[in-house]
Amino acid sequence: MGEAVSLYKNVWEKGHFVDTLSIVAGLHGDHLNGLHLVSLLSRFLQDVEDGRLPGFRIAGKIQLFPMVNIQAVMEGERLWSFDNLDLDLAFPGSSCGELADRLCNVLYKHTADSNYALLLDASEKRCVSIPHIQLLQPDRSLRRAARYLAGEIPGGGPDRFPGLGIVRELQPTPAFQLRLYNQWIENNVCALVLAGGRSAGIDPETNGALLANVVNFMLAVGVLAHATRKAEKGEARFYSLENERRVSASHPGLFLPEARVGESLRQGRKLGELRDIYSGETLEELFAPQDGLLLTLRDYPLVYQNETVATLLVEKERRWYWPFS
Amino acid sequence: MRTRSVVAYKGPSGASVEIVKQTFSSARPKPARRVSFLAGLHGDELEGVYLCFLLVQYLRRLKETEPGAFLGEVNVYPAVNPQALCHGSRLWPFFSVDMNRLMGEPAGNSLPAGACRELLADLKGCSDLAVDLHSSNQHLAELPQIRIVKDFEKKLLPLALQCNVDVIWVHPMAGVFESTLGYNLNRAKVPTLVMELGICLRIHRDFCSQILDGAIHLLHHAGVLNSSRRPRGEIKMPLVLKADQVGLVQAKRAGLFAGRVKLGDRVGKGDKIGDVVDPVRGETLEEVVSPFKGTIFTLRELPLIYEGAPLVRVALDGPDER
Ligand SMILES: [Zn+2]
Repeated sequence: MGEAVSLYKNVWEKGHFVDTLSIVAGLHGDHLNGLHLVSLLSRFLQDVEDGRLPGFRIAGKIQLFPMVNIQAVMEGERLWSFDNLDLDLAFPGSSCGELADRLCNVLYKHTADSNYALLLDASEKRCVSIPHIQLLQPDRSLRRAARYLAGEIPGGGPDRFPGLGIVRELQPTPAFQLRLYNQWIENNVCALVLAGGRSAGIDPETNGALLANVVNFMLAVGVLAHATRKAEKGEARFYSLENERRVSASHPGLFLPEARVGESLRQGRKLGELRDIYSGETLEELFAPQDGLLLTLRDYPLVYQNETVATLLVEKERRWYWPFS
Repeated sequence: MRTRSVVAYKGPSGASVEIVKQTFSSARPKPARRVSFLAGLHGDELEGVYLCFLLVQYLRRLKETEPGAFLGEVNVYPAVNPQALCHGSRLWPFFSVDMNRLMGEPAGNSLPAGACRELLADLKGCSDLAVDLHSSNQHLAELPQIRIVKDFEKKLLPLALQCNVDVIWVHPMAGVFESTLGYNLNRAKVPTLVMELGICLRIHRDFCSQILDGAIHLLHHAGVLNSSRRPRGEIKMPLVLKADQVGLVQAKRAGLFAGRVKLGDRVGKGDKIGDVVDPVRGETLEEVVSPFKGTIFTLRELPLIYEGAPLVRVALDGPDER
């Protein structure tokens, strides 16, 4: 109705023929943590460019896309109700399709020839996760890049998020090929997903800490430079799908969590319990099936039967071999 | 008729949610063939749900009056996305997911992924042929049609010709189909016809009775029914379109689309299709004319449009009509 639909990007660039890093947030309208982190990055990079942060300088091209799905963000919903389309299942899009196709195609074209890319993603809907890195079938260079994005978040610890050192391998599904991240990987972009937090909310403290991780990553890939500081490799623990244990609710009801994400759990530690809404009776207590780190926990209290309420990352089971055959 | 729940789970309040299957068994010990109809994968697509009502009603009467007519087995799944149906929404509410983009996912991923897996397994286990009924989304209305991915044309086209549709559209494979129910069933060697008719949230009784005739005809053709009182009406010879025989007219400007054509209308090159207007300024932004000669089989119903919005799809009279 006359209101233009625009895709905004913020760009900082030092000359031509330099490496490019693209950072994309807000593919879903409820991924607000990413929007906030990008806003912190924008302020940081502008401070660098304006000389307010001595020692730092822009050494490549950095482009930030703070809010791709503006329509859904404005609606306050995950998806735009006009087309009910999951924008992260519409890549690479098309230059002659409908609005969503065009938007995806423009974003794809602006980012697919980047050397590096970061997708800022939230946790699963109605859950909270510790911030972590996700990779698809990681090769050496992706693992190396992940180590530079990893690293302890100051203030982390048993009661807080333990840091970004967790790298999870993504599971390709039939719909996965339509995701932006998959399109980047197919285009040989060194691409990582930075996921976590809660959907439809922000965690300013964690984002403040994550800013340091992304700055370290920018130093490592050379789009940002510092007079004396060098990028540091963080500790990263790589978890494949076999390391994930999902705990599901056998009953529906009100979930009252007891554990906290980021907690190192011993087998049998109570994760929370399900109560019947009408009677208040405890229907089920949920426990950690084995030792592990609590990656994701249900954040929204109403739970359907068979829904996952917690995801643990566990160490691979040791194989014992008998000394005889 | 035997009623069974193929997927069941309870909501937070404790109320049960079920995907129900109605089975009309064969009069023979071993059914000649088993055909399944399902509707409501998108919860706002009610034409298929109504069609299932018509079909169940017909089959119940037939079972009462002529039980021997059932040489094979018919399964009807009238509402496979029950919560979305209650909500009148395309997506499975609470999770905001499209069930027809979840097929083939590991069950552990989420409750909807698990439900999709169970549904798919049930369909595979009881179908030698399936029909997946859809309407369009809220933007477009469709003449009754069957869409076939090119890879499955050989197997599906002869079956699609029995369904009394107006159009059969054979289109190339694209990544988006891999997570759909139709594709996954076809890959699993259950020939599956994906049918589109009408528009969501509405019922076109004439389209539904046309496709009921088609469904009954298909069941006789497949050897599942053999009724002495089978309707003898002719079924339509549909337009069979390849990708290059479909002309798409898109909006060049955003605004309100006021159409002046109907589904099934014939258009020639230069014929006026409608106007795109700017209601705020009172201006006509675009007079939309057809660059093609043929039959309109898709029509814009939601007047709100952005640039690139599809306005009509035309079944071209020939390849040179482009
Ligand atoms: Zn549909």
